[in-house]
Amino acid sequence: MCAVADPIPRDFRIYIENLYSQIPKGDLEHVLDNLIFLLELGKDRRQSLRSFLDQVARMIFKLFDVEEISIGLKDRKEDRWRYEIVFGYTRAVEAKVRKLEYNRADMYEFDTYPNVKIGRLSELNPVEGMPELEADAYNRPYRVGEKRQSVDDFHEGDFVDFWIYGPGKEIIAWIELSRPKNGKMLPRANVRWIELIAGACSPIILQKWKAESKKEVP
Amino acid sequence: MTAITDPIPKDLRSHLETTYSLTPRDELERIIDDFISVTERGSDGRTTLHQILEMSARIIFRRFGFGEVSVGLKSRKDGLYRYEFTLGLRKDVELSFKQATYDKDDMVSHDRFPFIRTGRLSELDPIEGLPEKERQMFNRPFSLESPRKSRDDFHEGDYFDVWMMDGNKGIIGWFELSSPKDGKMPPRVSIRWIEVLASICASIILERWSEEDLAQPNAQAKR
Repeated sequence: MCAVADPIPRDFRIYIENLYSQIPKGDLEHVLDNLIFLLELGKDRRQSLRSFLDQVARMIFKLFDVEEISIGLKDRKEDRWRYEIVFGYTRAVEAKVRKLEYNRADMYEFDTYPNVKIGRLSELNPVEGMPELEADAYNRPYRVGEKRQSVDDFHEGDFVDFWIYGPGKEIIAWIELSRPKNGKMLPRANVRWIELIAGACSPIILQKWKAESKKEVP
Repeated sequence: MTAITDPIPKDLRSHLETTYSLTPRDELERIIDDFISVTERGSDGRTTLHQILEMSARIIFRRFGFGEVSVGLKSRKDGLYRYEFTLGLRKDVELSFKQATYDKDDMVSHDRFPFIRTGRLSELDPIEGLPEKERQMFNRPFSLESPRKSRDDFHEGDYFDVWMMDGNKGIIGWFELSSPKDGKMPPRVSIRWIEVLASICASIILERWSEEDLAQPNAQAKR
């Protein structure tokens, strides 16, 4: 059996392989490369939802200089939302965060968690509107009461939520970030990137839920 | 009933609303905004898969400067691959696309469709390897015979395929791109963006198929 000759000229093949080399060049390609990796990982049936969301948190940590990341999920069977992934917190705070749960009013009403909309899928919840009962769910609770020095400072107690929506604009999950490494409000571009990640997580979560439902059918 | 006072200081709110205004400010933000729209439509059960793929093709057409964009999808009934939507083609060429079907080997065999890998999810199929039977599928067949003047030129008959994969690395759909407006090989970053969009579309397709499986648990898809 003889090998079929490659009809593509060798110099042209080499030129194209170099031009489209898979090694990312520059920040933009680096982020895109990570995003493609993450999305492909999400489709892998061997990856549980939890391990996928864990990867989402780690990727945000690695690319966007944020130290505290948590990801919450809606309970599939009742109107309750809880944290699933908690990353970058002290053990004591992590234990408190894991015990928190929210109802529909908590998730949807402005009065419960006053916020400022900062994107199509995101909002910033400043410390000034933080409910009293959540003051101990932070790594540095003694700083929560301090006055904000500048509108550009990211204050202890501030957090950003990125919503992951399902059918009918139902919140099925959310990514929560706080403590950017430079202590400043997140760059606008980073907010847009993380919104894209949140949006892209939606079909992956829904698909994994449906796969679980299928297994549960007797 | 008294209105609840906003506990957020006015200067902070105003600063944040300006800094993070929702109107996209540059091309990167416009692309992200478009991709988020695809994910929103994807999670909206009222939007059909065809509409989502059409929307994605139009985004590629608008944002990345390709004059011809097609989208193909694997049939769950017979396992064959067909074009679902085409953009920028002449009517008779569009008809040839609509009639074309491919089997699994067509989709992956280098011998049938010689290609050069250009990314994790993409490849360039240059004119030099174009099968004879595919020559009627181009807008300018007279240009197919002319020699490539420069390696950087995008020649009539060249096209990019960007794959939508399932969790087992099987192809479930694809974007096919040709005729870049400047006539040159597209920038690498454009291909990477389109790979992201292909991956998002693949997740949406898989989610929709899972929905079908739940609605019709006895329906057996062809693998």
